[in-house]
Amino acid sequence: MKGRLAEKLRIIWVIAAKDIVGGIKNKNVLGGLISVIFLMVFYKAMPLLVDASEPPTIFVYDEDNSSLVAALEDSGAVELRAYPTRELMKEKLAIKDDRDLGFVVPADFDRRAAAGETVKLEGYVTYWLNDEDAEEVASSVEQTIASVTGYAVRIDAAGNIVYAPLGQGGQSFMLSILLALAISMLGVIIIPHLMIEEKQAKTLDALLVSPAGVGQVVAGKALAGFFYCLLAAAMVLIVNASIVIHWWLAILAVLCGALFPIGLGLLFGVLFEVRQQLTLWGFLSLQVLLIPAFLVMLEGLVPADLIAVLRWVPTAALGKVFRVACSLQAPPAEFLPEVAVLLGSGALMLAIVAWFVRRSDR
Amino acid sequence: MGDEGMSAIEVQNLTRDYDGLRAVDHISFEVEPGEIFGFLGPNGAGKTTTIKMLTGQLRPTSGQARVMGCDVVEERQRLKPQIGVVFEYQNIYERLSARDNLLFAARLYGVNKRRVDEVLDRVGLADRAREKTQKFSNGMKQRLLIARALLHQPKVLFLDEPTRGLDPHVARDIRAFVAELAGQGVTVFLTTHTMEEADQLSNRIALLDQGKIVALDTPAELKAAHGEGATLEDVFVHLTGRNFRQWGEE
Repeated sequence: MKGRLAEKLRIIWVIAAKDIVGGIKNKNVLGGLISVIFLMVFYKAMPLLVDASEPPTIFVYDEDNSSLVAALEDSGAVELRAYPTRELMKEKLAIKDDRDLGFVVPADFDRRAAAGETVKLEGYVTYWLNDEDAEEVASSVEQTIASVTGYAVRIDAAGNIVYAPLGQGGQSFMLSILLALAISMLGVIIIPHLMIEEKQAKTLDALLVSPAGVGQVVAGKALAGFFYCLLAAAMVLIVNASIVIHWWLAILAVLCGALFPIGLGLLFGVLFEVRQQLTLWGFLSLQVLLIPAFLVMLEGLVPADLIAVLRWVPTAALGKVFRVACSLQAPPAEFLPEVAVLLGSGALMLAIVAWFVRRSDR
Repeated sequence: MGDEGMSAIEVQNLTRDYDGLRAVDHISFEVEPGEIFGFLGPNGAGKTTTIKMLTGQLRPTSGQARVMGCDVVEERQRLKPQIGVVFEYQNIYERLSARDNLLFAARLYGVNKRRVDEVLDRVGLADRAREKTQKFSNGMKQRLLIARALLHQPKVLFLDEPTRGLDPHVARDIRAFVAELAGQGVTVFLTTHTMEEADQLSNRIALLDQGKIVALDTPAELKAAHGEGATLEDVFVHLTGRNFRQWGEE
């Protein structure tokens, strides 16, 4: 029994290894991975392009109506967002996804500035900026203030890090969509391609008279697809490593979140015979999977009842788990229901595939 | 159960329907170890469907079949290492070299890598082993398919139209190779619609028409039963009421 299991696993690995190695030369697999790279480059380049043409945004809590804030407001050189409390300023800064800075203007600013003193301002930055980036942003704002208002200030943001409240905004919003897109695209497009290629070349027939059973062929393809899903997810995560706080949860999100797209991809691979069918259904299914993941984040714009339904779509659940992984706190109640959705939907899809596979010789 | 005294292939009332159409209709026969058994019939007669059932790819609608004592439905996993299959189409990985195609098959069967080089040498592809197979001629691809089927040293070899579309000299080489295999004790189940091939190679021939076996005997007996000087073609015309050319057009 143990030996038979080991033999089955060996065969699954042989099939998966062929597809993993062969994928490097496969234009469909390469196309999927290049698409993910392109998305990441686009995602990273966008803020740089926007930043170049727009004034920097500064979040301010002014303790006593200082002349600095008035001067900045009048200048138009910066987009100033002043808040009545320090906490509110920090909260609003935390859910921004740009390299913005917040600072507190002390009550005695005007007196100290008038005395010619370089006034030290207490700065705040989002957690995903490293020390070097934070220093660079602070320095840039100091220069802007000096040139616009003539005041010499020193912004010290060391140790003043703000985190987005659980499940709200910040960089993790768009990143969760990108992650869901990367995993879904690889799962729904690449895996069925691996199956359809075998069908079209009729090499599947040769596999099925070898010691490989249909289940092992499907499992081998799933494993290869899983590898490429993980590779795509790794590309997204590594490029945005600074966003993730709880890595174990981000990895759990990827592992569980890949199950459903892989199951769907396998189902397409089992059912479809030609690429045209896959192109149509793959495109449609990607829309169905990704639109809910986006809509659930638009609270206030999308009816709450609709959000309550859409949050159970696997990609929306994946996004939620990932966003929790990017929050300071990760209480189990915030992600366990979604993990259960990911595991359950993945298991259901794989069971459907198994049902079709068992009927394949009839 | 040992192999002694056991038929290599035993088929009883094997039937297969597709969407209400009967592709194979209650066929029964036995093939002895080391025999070359010719399965002769026109396109659409049910030859490939029979091979698919005997190799465990397709579930029969009814009837039973055993290959090397293994039930083709219930004991597929035990059956697989005992059979080799050369399909009617050239289903190889064209992005891979000949050697990589065989290495992949060797890993599936758990066969030592050295065996890959042995079979490549045996089918005359050792010199071209590292070339991608998409550059191969049909004859070379066919030899590679045979090499893959022989890699794990099967006891029964199923050859589905192995010389179809090949140059005459390549077809002749392959026939000689098949005869050599049988001489070494491999049982060969050969489907073909080429009467000369069946006549030349087979110890016995089953003539299949519209899913049914209409005759089964040695080539010599089949011909003798239809008069002196009769050819296999005469036998087929007599039994089916159609000539060979009509068959080929079906």
